[in-house]
Amino acid sequence: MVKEEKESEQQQLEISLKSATPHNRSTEVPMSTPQASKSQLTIFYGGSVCVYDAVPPEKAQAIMLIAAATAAASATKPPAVNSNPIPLITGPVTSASPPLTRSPSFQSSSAAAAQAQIAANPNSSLCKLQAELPLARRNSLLQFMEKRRNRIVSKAPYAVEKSSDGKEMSVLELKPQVA
Amino acid sequence: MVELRRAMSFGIPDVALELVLAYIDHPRDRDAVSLVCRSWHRADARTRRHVTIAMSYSTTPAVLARRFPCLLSLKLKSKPRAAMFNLIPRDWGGAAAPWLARISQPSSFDLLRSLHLRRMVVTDPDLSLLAAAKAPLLLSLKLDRCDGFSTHSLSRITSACRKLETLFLEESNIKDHGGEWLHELATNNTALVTLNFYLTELSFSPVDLELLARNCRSLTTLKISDRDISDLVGLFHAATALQDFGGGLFDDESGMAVNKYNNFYFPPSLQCLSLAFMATDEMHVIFPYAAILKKLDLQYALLSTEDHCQLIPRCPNLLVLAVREVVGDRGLEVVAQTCRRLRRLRVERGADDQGGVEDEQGRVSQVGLISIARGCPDLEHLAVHVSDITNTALESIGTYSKNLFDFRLVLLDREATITELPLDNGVRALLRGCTKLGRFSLYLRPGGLSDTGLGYIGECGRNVRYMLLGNVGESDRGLMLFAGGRPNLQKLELRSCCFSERALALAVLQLPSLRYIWVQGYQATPDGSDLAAMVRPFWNIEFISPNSESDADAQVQILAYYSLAGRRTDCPPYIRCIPPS
Repeated sequence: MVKEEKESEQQQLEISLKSATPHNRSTEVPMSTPQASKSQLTIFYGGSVCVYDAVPPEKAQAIMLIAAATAAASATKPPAVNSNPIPLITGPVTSASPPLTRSPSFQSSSAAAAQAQIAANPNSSLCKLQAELPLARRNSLLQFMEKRRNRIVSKAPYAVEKSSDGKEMSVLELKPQVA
Repeated sequence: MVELRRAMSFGIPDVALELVLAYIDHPRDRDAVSLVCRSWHRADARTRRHVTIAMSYSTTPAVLARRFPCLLSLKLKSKPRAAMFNLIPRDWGGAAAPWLARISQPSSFDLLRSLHLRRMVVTDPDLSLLAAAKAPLLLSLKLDRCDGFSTHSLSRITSACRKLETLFLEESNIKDHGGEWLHELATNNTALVTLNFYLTELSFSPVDLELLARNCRSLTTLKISDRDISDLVGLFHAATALQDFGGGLFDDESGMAVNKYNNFYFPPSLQCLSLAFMATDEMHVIFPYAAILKKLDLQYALLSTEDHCQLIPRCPNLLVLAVREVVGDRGLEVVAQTCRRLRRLRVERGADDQGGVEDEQGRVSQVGLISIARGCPDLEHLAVHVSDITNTALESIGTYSKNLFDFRLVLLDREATITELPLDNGVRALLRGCTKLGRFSLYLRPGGLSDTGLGYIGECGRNVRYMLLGNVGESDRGLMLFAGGRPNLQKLELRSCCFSERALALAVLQLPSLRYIWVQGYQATPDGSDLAAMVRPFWNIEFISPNSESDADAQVQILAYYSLAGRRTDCPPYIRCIPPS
């Protein structure tokens, strides 16, 4: 994900998110007002963060466009502003319901309660930044799996099972919610 | 004065009105009746037989007693559905005490004979009160996924309530002090029709169960906790009216010289079976009865894909089938060919480890779904966990499953790539085709449904009253499109979505029929402050923070619902009610 701090008001093209602070963890969505260092470019990618100072605006633009084009090409949708394979975009600038665009959530200038909208590009590692919860298992089935494991273990406690302890954890973990 | 009253009642005497109302049961019809005029309101109040309170905090026992003093039957639910998935903190609330206290008051609910509590906290004193007050009348008691009580108070109930026809304890968390309660039931009762302590860990003596079966000639449904069914031979010979049996378990007989389950006897009246830990070598016990079976639950069996393909062709009369994913696309193909009259199908999630305990073929995909849609036109209820999916599969359901009322799809996260995403078009086709759909649940992954697709759900799911959506949409725009479609949703559950708190609040305000919403996994503020946008009269908002006892990766939850009772007074400290008082 590419973020850039800009003081210019040309929000039509760069619908920038909040500026990145140097202390960002890659799992957090940063929120703050645009900073004075207007040519700092921050890139989040694959769990690591790279910060570049003194990047000229047109270069930053070029980088963003390249990223957008690549993301759009691998996504199935056209890279329109409103449909978002492009990770940049905070939210609908041209949303159908006007109150929303004025709401703090969508304005990059708002410091406090604003949250960034991260478009869910299926091919982007960005997806991890979403509040993606593991599926939860139904209690009755959890109990059944536990009992079944105990039966196997008690039947052959020293057998080398494929469903070893390490794998067992995957059953015990809370996984996607059952319907 | 009499003339005036009669005129206002449209010329219908009260007695006649009440006789007519006796034929009107549906809550929505009754609602309409009660709004005609005061006299009809009173007639409805006197004759209303059953009330379901879907959220116990939405009203108070006193209000219920005033409004419907002559109730025969009451159902109360409290904890959010997510409690069945261990997502709700143990001390969230849901105490049945105020309700049972009011019900047990003298001259209160004098006609009540049936009580059903679901996902509530019930204590021993609560039940003892109930037993003391209502014993002579109580015909049906259901403590359904409840917790907080023990077998001590169960004994009080079973020894005092001798006319009990239904005792239902399924999946309740009950402290076990021995099987005395069952002995009391067996020796005191001859009216029992249904006994269900399935998925509890209660211990019992098979001798008591056999005695019960002999004394209660009408015993039709029996679902028990784990016990080797070879201990239950006497029971099955005694229970001559038994139609529905669930529970028990099988010992591991593989490798045994003589299988102790050979020629196992079930009563010939048996139509519904749920047998736990039944493996390949024990499957044959079902064969003599398979042809008449209407309901089969294999969720807790130990069968392979091939086993399912061997067993199911023998069951052409199945109306209800529950299996785990191990049934596979192959097994579903067999179901589609054999069970032409199938009404309800559930494909539950299996174990995650590969090749260890579950079958390699044991995965369900669009292939299985399409077979089922084509083969089972009577399907009313379909719940599936799939490893892969396409739009075509959903379109097939929209085309063929015209009787579908309840549809639930969970896309598991096993495969890195799914054949076809997003599912926008398929979802739209399904919602447009299944016009009777009332309950809809879709749990995907990021990229599974675009903002546009989420908009389709809002626009096309017109009759749907309940929805659970997980990992849908891409941004707040999707949520606004969804709400803008004005679906007539009454209850909404959202999980693991990317929406902001403010957008959620605004969307809630746009949903015209919404009376209950639960959300976990969204862009939360630290204190729920953006929820202020949805503050309105009679709307309780709970912002539930993960407390120190809960899971490390537990996330904030929102629970909001309409209530005439005002803010609840029993919130634990980590729940913040909005607005703060």
